[in-house]
Amino acid sequence: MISTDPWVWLSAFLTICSFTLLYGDNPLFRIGEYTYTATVVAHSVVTGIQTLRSRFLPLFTGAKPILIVPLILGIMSLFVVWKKYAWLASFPIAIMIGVGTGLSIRALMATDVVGNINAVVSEAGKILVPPLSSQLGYFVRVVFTIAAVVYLLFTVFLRGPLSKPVEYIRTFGKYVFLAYLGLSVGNAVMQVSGLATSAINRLLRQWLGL
Amino acid sequence: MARNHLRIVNAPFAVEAVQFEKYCVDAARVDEKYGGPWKYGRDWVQLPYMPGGSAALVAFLEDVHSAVATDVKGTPLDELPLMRDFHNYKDIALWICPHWAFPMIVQYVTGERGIPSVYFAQAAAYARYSVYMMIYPDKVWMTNGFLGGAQYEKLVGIKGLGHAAIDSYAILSAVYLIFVILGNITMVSRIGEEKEEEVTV
Repeated sequence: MISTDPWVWLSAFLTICSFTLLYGDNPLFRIGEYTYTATVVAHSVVTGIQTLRSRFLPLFTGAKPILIVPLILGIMSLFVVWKKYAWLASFPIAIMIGVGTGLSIRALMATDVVGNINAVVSEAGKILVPPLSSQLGYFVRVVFTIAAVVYLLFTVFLRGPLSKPVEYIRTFGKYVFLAYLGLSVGNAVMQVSGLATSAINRLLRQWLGL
Repeated sequence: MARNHLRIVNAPFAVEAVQFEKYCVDAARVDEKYGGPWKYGRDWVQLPYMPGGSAALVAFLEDVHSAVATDVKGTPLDELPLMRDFHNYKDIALWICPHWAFPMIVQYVTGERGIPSVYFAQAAAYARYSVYMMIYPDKVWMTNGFLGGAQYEKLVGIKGLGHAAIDSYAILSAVYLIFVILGNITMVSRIGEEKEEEVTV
């Protein structure tokens, strides 16, 4: 049974407006596009104001006087739009970058660098452990990782007896990257198709009740 | 989770996450169908948006009540029974991430504090982040897109969004495969023509 909820109808109308882009740029698509953009901006502004209010409430009630520091830094960051005093904004920006870098460098090293190396070493040991399907999987992952790393590390031309083997591994590493690129694009397409599927699904089930 | 009396605190670190997390709870229909009655404040709590990215996450993990004072409706956390039992990361048994920014969760929640994490990933995100399952085996878990969602639903014996979308998604995937094959055939068949054009120029 077709929906009687006006919000479902609005959602269906905007979904159809978005799909009209398949026909080409048109006023209906523009309506959908502008409505979406305006809604996102408005939502961000309202959420931002609510967040500011709730965050700085303890400052004005006297519960947390230390909050004067982020308040001042926040006001200083607004000067970025005023060319003459834009230098004031560099202080809060520097603090944000400093804190962000300080926090992330440790976590990044532990997880993405040391963790990855640890995983590859551990998987290299599992190549010898049956069943065959797992062995093959671990073998492919370890070989592909090493080839890709060699491709990135040896970016200069090597001379001597090792130049030929390294060149072969580099070429293989390049194909590994191309395979990764293909997989990434394929997965991105599947993601978009998933969004389209859920939109069509919503139209058929929620709006038309099929 | 509701059936097993697990409690959830939704902690949004992105602007749009507040609505999305509420949507996840509504879509799971735990209140009306699966495992309910689930009561707000006792079984689950929706916190407001916490700006600051990784810095906000670390502050939240170290001291929840200092990082955020109220829930999304403005109710002080001390008035919510669930939040009275929740002080810092030591009270977290599992972190569930239903959207992007999973690397941040793995780095600070699983990597630094040893809390297991689950990621309900979109297909593209699964390909990019599945390496974390190898880095932290038995600590990081992921499902893969709609298919993973449907598989998870089958595992726990419910029919939700995953089941609703998987048939149309499978058909659409087959259509995409046909397009990919046609596109490749077209490209290969034009290779000779392009070379001839180059010679002519």
